[in-house]
Amino acid sequence: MKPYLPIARLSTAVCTLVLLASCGGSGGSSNSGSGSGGTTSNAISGFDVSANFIKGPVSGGFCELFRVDSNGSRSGSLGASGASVEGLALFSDPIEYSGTLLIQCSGGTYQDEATGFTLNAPETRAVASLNSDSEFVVTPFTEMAFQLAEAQGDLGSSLTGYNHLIAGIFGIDGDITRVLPTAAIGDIEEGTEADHYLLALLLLSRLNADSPSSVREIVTGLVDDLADDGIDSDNATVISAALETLASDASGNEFLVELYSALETAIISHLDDSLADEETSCGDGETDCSENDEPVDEVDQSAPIGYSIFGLTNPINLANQSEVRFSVDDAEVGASYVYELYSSADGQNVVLQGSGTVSASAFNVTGLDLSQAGDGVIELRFFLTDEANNQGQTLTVTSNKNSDPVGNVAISGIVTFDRVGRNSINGALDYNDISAEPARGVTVEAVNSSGTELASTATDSNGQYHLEVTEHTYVRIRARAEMISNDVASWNLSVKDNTNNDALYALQGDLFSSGGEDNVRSLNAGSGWTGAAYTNTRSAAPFAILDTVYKVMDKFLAVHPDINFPKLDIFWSRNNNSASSNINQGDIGTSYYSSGSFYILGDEDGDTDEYDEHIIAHEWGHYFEDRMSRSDSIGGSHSLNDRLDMRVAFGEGWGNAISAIALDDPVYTDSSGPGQAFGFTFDIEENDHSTKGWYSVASAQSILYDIYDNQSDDADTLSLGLSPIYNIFITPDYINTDYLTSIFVFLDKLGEVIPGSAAGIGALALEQDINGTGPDGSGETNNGGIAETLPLYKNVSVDGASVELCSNEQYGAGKDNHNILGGRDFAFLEIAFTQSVEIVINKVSGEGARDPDMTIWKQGQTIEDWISESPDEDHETWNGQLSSGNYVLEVYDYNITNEKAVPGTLEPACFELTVSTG
Amino acid sequence: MNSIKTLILLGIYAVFVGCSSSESPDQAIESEGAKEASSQTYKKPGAAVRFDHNYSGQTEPGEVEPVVLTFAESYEAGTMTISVDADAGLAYDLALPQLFDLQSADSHELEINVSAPTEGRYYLRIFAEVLLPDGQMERRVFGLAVQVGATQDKAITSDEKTDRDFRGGELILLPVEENRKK
Repeated sequence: MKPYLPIARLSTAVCTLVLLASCGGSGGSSNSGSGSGGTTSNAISGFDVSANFIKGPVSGGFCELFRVDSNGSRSGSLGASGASVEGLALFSDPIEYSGTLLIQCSGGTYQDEATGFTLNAPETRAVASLNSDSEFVVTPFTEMAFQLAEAQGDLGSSLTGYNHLIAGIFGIDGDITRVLPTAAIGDIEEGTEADHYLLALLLLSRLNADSPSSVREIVTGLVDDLADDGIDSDNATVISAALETLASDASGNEFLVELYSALETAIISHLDDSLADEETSCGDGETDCSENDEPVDEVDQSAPIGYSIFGLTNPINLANQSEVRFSVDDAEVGASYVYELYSSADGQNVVLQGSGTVSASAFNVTGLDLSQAGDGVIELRFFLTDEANNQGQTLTVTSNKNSDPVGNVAISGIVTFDRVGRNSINGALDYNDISAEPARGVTVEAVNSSGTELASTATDSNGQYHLEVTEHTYVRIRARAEMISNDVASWNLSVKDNTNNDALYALQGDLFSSGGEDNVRSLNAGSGWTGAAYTNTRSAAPFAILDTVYKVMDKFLAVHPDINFPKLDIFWSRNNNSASSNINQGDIGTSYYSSGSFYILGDEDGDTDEYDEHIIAHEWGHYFEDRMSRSDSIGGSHSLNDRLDMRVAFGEGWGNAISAIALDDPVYTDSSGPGQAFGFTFDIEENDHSTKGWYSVASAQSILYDIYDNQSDDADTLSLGLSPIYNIFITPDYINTDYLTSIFVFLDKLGEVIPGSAAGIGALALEQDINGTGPDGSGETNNGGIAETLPLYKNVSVDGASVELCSNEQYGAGKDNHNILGGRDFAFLEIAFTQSVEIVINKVSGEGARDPDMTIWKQGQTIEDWISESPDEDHETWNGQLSSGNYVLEVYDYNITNEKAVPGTLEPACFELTVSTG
Repeated sequence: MNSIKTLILLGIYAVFVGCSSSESPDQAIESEGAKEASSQTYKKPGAAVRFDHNYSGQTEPGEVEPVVLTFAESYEAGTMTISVDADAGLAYDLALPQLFDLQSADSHELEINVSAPTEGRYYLRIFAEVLLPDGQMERRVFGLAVQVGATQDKAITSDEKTDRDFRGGELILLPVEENRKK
């Protein structure tokens, strides 16, 4: 192990943690005997515990208590507490536990006495025995013992051996987890064990100051060194130098100097065995200690003394009763030992005994099988007899045995959220109509104080959950804003905050002890509305959004129970507003879907959408098309009576229709404005629109809804339900159609799937001024006011006649030209075999310079090489190879369709498109 | 902080790519040197009104900055009412509400002066309500972020506690009303 390296900082005090336990218990058994036995408590009535976390002192730290199980592993949490400015952590609830205890402290800062810097306190741990009102101490020395035990895979060995090893090395009399170090060097007068402890801490500080290593690194370095049970000579040299410095600083205090000398003696006596003969310190810096050698008694007439027993397994339970153990320290090597175990339940008869010879001064006795002993108080008696047959004092320690099974308890309840009702007349939210509704299908987990999951489940269709946790465990219930299923049907969706690092929302209850009986814990997420505004946290919002999606998915699962819904991320924040800028600040513009996610407005008094179910369902409809079917929609802004690109009209019509279908409510509502007291509505069942046709959102939505519903009205004689609609969307024939998605493709497929519906379909279409048939809308006569839009697809062939395609911004006024009817035109090209082709586009009409561009589509797919977007004026050429199949060529004047174009400034432009062999 | 910055940048980039491609994920983004990608997001329905403005993007504390708000629409008839609201601390001088005849023109402008004495990021909320001759009403809400001063953006205050999620990432811990029985 490398010597400790000098560091710049000096800290004269290091971490100590004191746990104060006080309570009505009658005092517990002691597992540490030095010539005396302890008292026993049969009943664990709970201990009031507090902790002093001191590193100057440490302010703002955090301490937690854990059980250590029979395997020596950290087990359940027993409680947690923050530390005060003075470093005091008070555990307010009684600790209902008796046995090996892990104390873990972290966080907080302290003021370094030497530099005045505020430094972070390192994580510091101790393993101790809790079976009575106790006052514990946690220091870097207990941390060393912990690390040594952890390396052995048995934290219990810290209690049974390493605590004492470390104490012995650093000259600390007594239990390093119980002795409270003297507060300051000026208080040292008598050389008590507390004084020794302080000096050991000062040594550590000195090493810290002399080395670039941190306290943590020094501790780890010592642990590495001590792993072989001794200190190597290099480190011994460094330690000696540090002690020399300390002694020099204390040169005016002879008593203090003597104490430092004694500390050095203790440390040097624990050098690695192989080096012990080569290098020792006699306490005066000399290596020749011959002058100090004491004569060896030739005749041993004294009984073994000073040995101790400790760490008897406590409590003894069903899990560990056949692996009981205890430890011995400071035993005379060569002496024989005898131990006997008595059980109060067996009339104080010996239930187990054993013997052996001491080969090392510190050793463990393990593997004692007390499974046959009755439950009650177990007393261990132990004594040594030296080789001269001098018998030492009989030491006793006690433990409690209870072999009843350790079980689980149930925690169950219901999770609900506040849903704010809506006014279906004006679309406003109605805060007089708030109801608690079940949060269905959400993940519920029991977590410990560290946030580690102990158990999890999902709420059922009534919002109910049931979990099981180990009894007497500190837990809290969390309901995560997510729904996950990996069953016959699967889904994975969550609601996160895009303005807070995409953190997931979760409801969290209070920390409580699971106790010994079942618990009921129900959670309700409040709306946050307090009468005039959202002055409380809007906990319900994420769950209201999830619930709407649950309804939509449930509708689909009712017709097809084995759907696998792809992952969906939903982002909502109260910061999400109508400005368009940075989504991390909430400037999302409007609620929208894009590439597997949707963003939902939450701006109070502006526009909130978490309770506007039709909006959530509408965006879900886009997700469904995008992720489970096919959508060729180019998106953009739209309203009901716009004249739009056929892809957009159908996609938006589908979104509105599915909102009505999934919610079984054709009245779409959207709230907004101050107090969310305004809004608007429209009826998806309505068939009479100012804009009708294959380019109309209103036409698409009413046709789709009429296909679904069981109301016969006007031309609607169909009542097919959701199943055939879903089947069409997912069928490969639909997904792989050569034509761009539109009302024509859908109705054509519907007619194939349900042959008897042709007349009904035709009637619905005609009512909406749609009279073309087939996926290409063949025979359509409604041109939407722009003659050049028909036919929808102009057929072109390789080396055949050219076709004319036009771009028109007539319907861009009041919106952008991106997705308007007539902005883009389409040709249909059949390629018989793989070949190179050249596509040339030249302007034939339209004032001013124009910029024709083209995108090639095959079954709705395109690639980078198929996008031809040169800035050439009035001309565009594309060369490439196309495999056999059918293609759609989309042509547009970029000057018209780009988002920055000012509508109404350009007359239509037409282009001649020719395809030739390349 | 560097890793957080990186994540934020990636997030924005991913959204941009999502907007520019139209359909399935394997479709191409714009070729290099290509023209500006069009936005391909699927937005919620609302009034057919397009909002634009000439705000410079930066205002000094105490400065009164004039902004022209433009509303373009394609309705043949009806009326449009524009009203405005703002975050506390942002002053504006527009008399409310503003009523426009949709038959008269396709584009309507409003001039508004905004100012704030204190640095920060403020939001102007603009409400457009369209009433059609058949009685149908449509609405749309717009927003304008007014950046006052050169310091950090509007504090996105959050009174919710956050915690590390043992499954990765972070959790926002929302308060609940808890009912317990034993």
